[in-house]
Amino acid sequence: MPPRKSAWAPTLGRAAGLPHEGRQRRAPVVALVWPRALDTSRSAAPLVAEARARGAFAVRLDLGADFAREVGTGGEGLAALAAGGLLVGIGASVSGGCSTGHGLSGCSRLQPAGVAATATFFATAVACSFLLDGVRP
Amino acid sequence: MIAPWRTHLELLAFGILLGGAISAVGFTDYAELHRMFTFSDLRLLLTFAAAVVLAGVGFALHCRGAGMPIRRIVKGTVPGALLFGVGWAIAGGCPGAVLAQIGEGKVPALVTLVAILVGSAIGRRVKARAGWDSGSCAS
Repeated sequence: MPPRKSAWAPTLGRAAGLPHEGRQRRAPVVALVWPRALDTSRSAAPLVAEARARGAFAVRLDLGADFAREVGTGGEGLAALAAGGLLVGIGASVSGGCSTGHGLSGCSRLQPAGVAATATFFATAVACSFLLDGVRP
Repeated sequence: MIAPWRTHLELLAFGILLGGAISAVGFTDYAELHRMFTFSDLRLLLTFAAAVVLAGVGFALHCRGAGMPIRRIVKGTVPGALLFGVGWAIAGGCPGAVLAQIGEGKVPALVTLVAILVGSAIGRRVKARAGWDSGSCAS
């Protein structure tokens, strides 16, 4: 049985960079598994590539140059992670939610507790970040 | 009571999707977070705003007709959030993002995870002692 032809398959196939003869047959499958094939506009391609690079797996012992500069390296950095994590844990527990529970779920449902907590933790995070910038520019 | 296995599978699927999204938008990256908190790059802030709007539409469609429970501001809400914000800015990871950081292979995030677990155990005791009932994410 010949593969069923659809009008959008050639476009998707071209976007996915498939050879001409493979476009009709494989494009629908590629569209499901390969985000690049979903780009119909060219301008979205770099954004998708950027997002894919962000989530790329790599075993790393550091958290990047910005963390090293603002917070610290080695033992100092780990101590900061421990202290920061402790505050995150206590805060999320006492507040009854975190950036996901209060920030995303709470704000999107316009929950009073979610909006108040999000405004508060965002404000302290901003203040703390500017403070870090001031101490270690 | 333990939820049926189907619920666990559904939560697993949503968890994987959430982790992938958190990672892809850059919420796991200290540099990106720091740029959001110092307003030197608004991309992540706008991404989060878009997610809130999208989730709002989803909740509205999913819960139409049925009233959603309202979570009021209680005694623990603001003090807890004050601490949370400081910790988030220092450690560069919130409870969801730290799991995604570990999934990305960021080894130091294991320290953050352990600290968050210890912190939430302390937080529960503090809440119980103070008699604050701020609920949890699930309520």
